Amino acid sequence: MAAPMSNENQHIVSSPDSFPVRTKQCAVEINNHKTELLCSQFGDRTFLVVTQYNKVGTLVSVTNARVTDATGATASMPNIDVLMGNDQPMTHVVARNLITQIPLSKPILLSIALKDNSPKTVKAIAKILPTLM
Amino acid sequence: MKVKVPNLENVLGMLRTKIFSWYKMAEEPSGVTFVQPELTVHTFRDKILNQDIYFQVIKLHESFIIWFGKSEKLGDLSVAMATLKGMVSAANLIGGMESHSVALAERLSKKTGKQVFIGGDMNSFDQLQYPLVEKRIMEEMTKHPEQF
Repeated sequence: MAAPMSNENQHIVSSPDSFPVRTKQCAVEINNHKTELLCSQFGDRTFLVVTQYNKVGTLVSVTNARVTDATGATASMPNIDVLMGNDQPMTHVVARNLITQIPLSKPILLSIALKDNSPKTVKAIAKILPTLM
Repeated sequence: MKVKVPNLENVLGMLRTKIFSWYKMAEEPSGVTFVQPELTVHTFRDKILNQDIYFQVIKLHESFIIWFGKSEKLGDLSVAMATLKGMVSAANLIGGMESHSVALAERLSKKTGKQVFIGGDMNSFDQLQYPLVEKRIMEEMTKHPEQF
């Protein structure tokens, strides 16, 4: 295992520029759990992997839903669909919190396999994810 | 004898900065250190029937995700995994059950015994290209087994 590192940009592994899909990844140790983070920027979707088991775990699709209220004002809200895995309220809560820092310009395909669901861990991951975009 | 009384304001100010720095230290997410990633991403490209096709393999524990396409579109997504002896169950996640990605995931899962995810814009391929794409993936599997 590598020594603790300081500058996060140095530790992001990127796919070659000649490849049409840009993939960036990094791994962090959060609360004694090794967390692998990966982001592939496809044309129609952003594919994110957040895993502490090195497995896909639960696959969630996050789309941007435009909600219009009684006054006619529109607001955008993430709409979460569990494609595979356990569809529990906790999955929705974690997914929603993970993508708080990510623009919802295109749908997100999110794979979540966390040993540690604590708010502290999820917030720490959510903070790192935008650096992979 | 005159004793120098320290300025109360100064002492309070110092105390405040000290407490603030302690507080800031506590607020930092504890124990977040960057380490070497274990997941590997393998990319390759090939010309199949005069068209450039790109492949990306993400290796996970006992599973892998293959994406292939002519453009940057993710398209469909299917999953297959071995269940009982010789049995493989497959399902489509994005795109519809008649997507070619389902059958391909099923075959690759049977071959490797792993959970396989297949992504790709299946509509952009023609009938002649599917078997060649599959052959190319099989070739890469024998050439670089450590990437799958």
